[in-house]
Amino acid sequence: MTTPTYDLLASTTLSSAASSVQFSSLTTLASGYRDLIISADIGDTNSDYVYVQVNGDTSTNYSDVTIENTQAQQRQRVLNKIPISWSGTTVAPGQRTHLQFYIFNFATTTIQKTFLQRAGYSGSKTIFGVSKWHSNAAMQSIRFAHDGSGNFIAGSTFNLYGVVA
Amino acid sequence: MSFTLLGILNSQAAGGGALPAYDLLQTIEPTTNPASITFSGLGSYTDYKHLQIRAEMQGSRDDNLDIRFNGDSSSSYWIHYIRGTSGALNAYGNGAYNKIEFGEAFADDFTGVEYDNYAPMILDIADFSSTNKRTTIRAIHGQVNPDRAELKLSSGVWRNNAAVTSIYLGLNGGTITSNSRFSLYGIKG
Repeated sequence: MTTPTYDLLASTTLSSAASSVQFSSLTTLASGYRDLIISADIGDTNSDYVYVQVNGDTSTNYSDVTIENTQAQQRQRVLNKIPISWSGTTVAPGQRTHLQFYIFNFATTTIQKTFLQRAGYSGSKTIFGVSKWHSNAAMQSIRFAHDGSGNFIAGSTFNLYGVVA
Repeated sequence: MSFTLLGILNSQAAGGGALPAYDLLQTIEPTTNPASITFSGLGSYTDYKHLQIRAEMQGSRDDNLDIRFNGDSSSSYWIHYIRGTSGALNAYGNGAYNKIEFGEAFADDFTGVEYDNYAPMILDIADFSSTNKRTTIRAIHGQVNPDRAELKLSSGVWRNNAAVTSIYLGLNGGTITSNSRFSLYGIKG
């Protein structure tokens, strides 16, 4: 027996600029799902990294390995957020970032949370990554923001999907 | 200004009555510690064009994921990958192997908080039921642990035109930790 899945759980298209976007109440919103996928299409007023924080945790509880263009980086428990893509200024028309963030077993309380991510910025960068939140807590919220002082521009979209397993 | 969502779909995102195109077909979560698992009976999934496996993998050692199709252990497989740890990337490609190996795709089952995770993978198998071209696959996988932290973009080819009816997934030289998870999805096209 097959089970249709990859279900859209929440979505927004920003009607005005915003410094961050957060999906909350995940264990309620995504009850019955094991994995989550967030897909975003972003324009920005500044050129900087887009990052993720989980459950409002701003301590150095994050690690990652990324491939960015021709280089790789490994950062073990020194990050207070996970940089997952680059968002460039939209002064040049059409410069957009598309990212996908894959969350595995988000509600478990027995293991640390691991993620895969891939993103492309039409101006200059391609980024792939594997990352980790060093916590066994169930994920209740996930927040997207960026370094620097920019905003996600109106028209940026963020979609949250649930996947059963 | 920040924006918080509580699961409300806005009008621009509402669906238009489209049919589901991504379905869960099988999930295997070993309760023992097998050396391998196999998805079989794939020939019955005639509604689907492509397959995807989403996995969280841990084993008795952080070693390769071995992949074979239809039980074929002849030298019919080719492998390619880009690997990132820190600094410059390295890449590899070679062939005539008796399996596709995705290097270090399993996390080790060391005890301790820092090892308390499973290595994630998303593996795509394109046009799996075709009988007029060789089967190609690609994956993104990796892990962030104290003894191993790396990301790989891997691909492989099975030089055989047969439709894929089974997929063997094993841990090279070890056993798969119980509670690892392998989910098989069908994608219509």
